[in-house]
Amino acid sequence: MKTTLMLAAAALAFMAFGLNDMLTGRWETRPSLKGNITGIVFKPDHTYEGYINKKPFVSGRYILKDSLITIKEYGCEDKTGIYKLVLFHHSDSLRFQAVNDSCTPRREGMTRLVFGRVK
Amino acid sequence: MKKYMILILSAITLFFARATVLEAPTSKEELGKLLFFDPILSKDKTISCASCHKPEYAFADSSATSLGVGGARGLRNTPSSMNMLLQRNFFWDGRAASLEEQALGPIENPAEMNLSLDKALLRLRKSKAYSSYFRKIFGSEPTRANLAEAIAAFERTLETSDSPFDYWKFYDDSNAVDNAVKRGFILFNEKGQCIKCHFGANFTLSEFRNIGLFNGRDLNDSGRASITGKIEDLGKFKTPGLRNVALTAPYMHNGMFGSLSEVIEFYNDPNKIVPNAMNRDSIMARPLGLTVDEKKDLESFLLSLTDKRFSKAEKINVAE
Repeated sequence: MKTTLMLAAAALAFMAFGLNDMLTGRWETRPSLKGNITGIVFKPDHTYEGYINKKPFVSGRYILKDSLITIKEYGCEDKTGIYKLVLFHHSDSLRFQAVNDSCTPRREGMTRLVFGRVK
Repeated sequence: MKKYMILILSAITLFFARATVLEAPTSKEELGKLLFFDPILSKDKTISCASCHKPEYAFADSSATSLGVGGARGLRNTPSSMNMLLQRNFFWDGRAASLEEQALGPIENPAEMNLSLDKALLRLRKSKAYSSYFRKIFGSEPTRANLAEAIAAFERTLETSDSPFDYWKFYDDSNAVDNAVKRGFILFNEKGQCIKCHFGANFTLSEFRNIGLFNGRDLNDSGRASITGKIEDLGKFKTPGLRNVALTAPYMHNGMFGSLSEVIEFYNDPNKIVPNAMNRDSIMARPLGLTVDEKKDLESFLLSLTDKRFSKAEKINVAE
């Protein structure tokens, strides 16, 4: 019963705000074994900034359609990457599943990380 | 009278003992800092790590190559010791795979501190202060491993992420930088192609590249090839990070360029500066064709990578 209610609440939230709104904001990983924190800020103007330990390292643009996000950024020789967004834990956690990305370092980085929403 | 004298002397002794205890390092980072600034690790006790890695120059040196013990001159420009946490290899030729390995290198290098590690450790063990610090922090006498661990731990504290660029990108404060910086950032990523090598949180992929400063004659440092023995590595050097780059002149592995504008001129048309380079990276095959204004914008962007701890008011505390 509780699970059903939670699912219904998540569905309502999704309908009310849309995936774009849910994605917008700051997301960060937990500290790695070496203590590094990776983060990403999705902005309402469809740009994003990635960083490690508060040090920005990548700037790009994204398009979100259904649950697929298409990204293009400085670095990766202008290659476009397509990922499926997986939001869980009441949309407070985020993972990326690679759909198509020929930029290997980015694909490896994106798919191994789990981000939590920074409130 | 004698009694009073003893009491006074005891009080003075206690005061200084307490002062020593208060200043004693309590962590490996603090111990590493003490060692980093102490010339005890050089043969004639005149050179410390900080003699060449000067805090006010972002822990780099201001001369093309640095002077070691007895006036010996090093062969390569002193790189910054800052922002090492995410680096994968160390030294211009990448001969150290960890910061710990790197930390011990200059102690034994004849052109730097010129002291064998055995002798360095003996000195530290003979020092009552150091001996007690190591025992307290590591639970043992100074060893090769814990000496390296302490210095590396200190170096890992030298991270910077408070530059105008960081405020612009991380905190989304578009007023943190002016339009020249913003244009320069686009040039850095697009027309200038700098990002192809200077990518990442510290603006380096930690790769080795031949940027055309090897001609086998007057420019004859073989770089990475001296470690790997591979002919294709001739003239390759590690791409340095760019944080605080405005403070670390002169530039390149041999310190041959005195200013950022000289560096930009070189990248804009390398053939003009070094026409007889061997195996220069194909990324640099064609001149960039930057205009005068674009070069200025690119320089403005590089200046925006300077951490606020180096602003005039805070200069005195750069080592903290």
